[in-house]
Amino acid sequence: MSRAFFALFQRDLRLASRGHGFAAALGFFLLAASMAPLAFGTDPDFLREAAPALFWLLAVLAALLGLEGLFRPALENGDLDIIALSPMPLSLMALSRLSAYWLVTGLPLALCVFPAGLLFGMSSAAIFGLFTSMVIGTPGLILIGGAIAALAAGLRQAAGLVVFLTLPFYAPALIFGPRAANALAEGQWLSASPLFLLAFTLQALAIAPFLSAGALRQYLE
Amino acid sequence: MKWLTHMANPERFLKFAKPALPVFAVLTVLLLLVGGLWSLLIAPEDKLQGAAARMLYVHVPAAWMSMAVYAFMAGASLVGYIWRHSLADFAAREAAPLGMAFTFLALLTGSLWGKTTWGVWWDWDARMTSMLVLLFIYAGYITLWRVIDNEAQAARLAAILCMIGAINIPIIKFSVDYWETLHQPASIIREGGPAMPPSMYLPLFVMAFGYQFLFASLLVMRLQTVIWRRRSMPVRPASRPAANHPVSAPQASTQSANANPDTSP
Repeated sequence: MSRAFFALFQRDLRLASRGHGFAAALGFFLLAASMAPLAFGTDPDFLREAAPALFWLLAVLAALLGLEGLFRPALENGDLDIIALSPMPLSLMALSRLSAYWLVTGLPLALCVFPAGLLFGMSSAAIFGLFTSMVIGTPGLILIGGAIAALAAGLRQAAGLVVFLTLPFYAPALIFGPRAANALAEGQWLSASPLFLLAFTLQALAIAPFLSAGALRQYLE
Repeated sequence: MKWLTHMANPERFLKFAKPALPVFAVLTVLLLLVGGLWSLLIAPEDKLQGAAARMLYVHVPAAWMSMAVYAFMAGASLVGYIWRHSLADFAAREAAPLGMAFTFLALLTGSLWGKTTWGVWWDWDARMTSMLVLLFIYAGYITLWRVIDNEAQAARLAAILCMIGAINIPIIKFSVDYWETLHQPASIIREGGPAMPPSMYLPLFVMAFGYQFLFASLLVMRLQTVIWRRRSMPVRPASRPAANHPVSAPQASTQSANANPDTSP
């Protein structure tokens, strides 16, 4: 089973890096971050203060961008039918796809804060804290969003629906993300915000693969 | 459990609803009338807020109901998902607009009360914010039902969304509480009994029961309507998931692996 899982994971990784979901997410994040000072003005103190919250907000929106295409192509071209007939549980398939998507979208998004943070004049400790908070939090974003994308996988033009259904569930990440970034920047590794952010990701990890599988099964019937 | 299977039959539900609905409706009117007059005329004014504090009697029960209805929907969704109990699916669907209305009422009365007490219509405090997020979650749930044509499919997908919500709403609630709070801390259900005199919390409880029976009567009415409407329609194959898209023979064999026979009520 684990060999089958790794084979599937490698395939999902190749497919995810070939799709344009991640390019849209990264492009949106970098562009929007560098356009933001046009609206905010160029006061360096303000930019430095606002950066963690702004980057978290942009990361949340960027994570939503490519999600709609996460399961739909596999449903349309029959990949899912074949996997559903194989002994591989559908929830493991969902876990493989979601983790592959995080590797090509979530992790690069977190890495994007290094150039973007420099543009906003953040200190290296602050950038590193922000990066760590994103590494902790973005898997949760993609897992929850992925489960909801699976709900809409068989619907046409579901992109808007996925955004609408998912955003309310991102509230905890928006609350704890920027606070965790600040706490981590000050070296408080075990303070409340990073731990809550980690808990958000872990609960998403516990439920998302099963709920995605349950949702996809409805479209396979 | 036995009661659940018993009620799964729409015929039996209608038999229960026929005598139950008038009882619920009369109780609703009585409780809201008594509670309303009691809270407006008899209950004492607040020392600081004066008559504005009477907003409590419409605001707090609405806020309680907004959560209670979601809990009801989550329970109904779970039952509908596990036992393919289509009446439970419809109960969740029909409860959602009612829950959204209670949430909206709680936000609206909270905003009016906030204007008189804090001097602002909206304040980003914890409970108002989590109510707002709850309103969006209700809206999303209702939207998902509307965009999927196949009723049986919509029921199961909406049930999954409702369960994601049921797991996440407490998390959202606690994160928002952690985030910031200006609101007074819980003053009714807390250790050491309510922080209110009985002259204030008794009418509040009467109102809360009135709201509950209002919800029960409206829900029973809506469910009756659903059953009657489906009965008046010719039997549509669309209520069976597999039959919705006519499939050719080779595909049909893969479908039988997952097909579920009995989802039509």
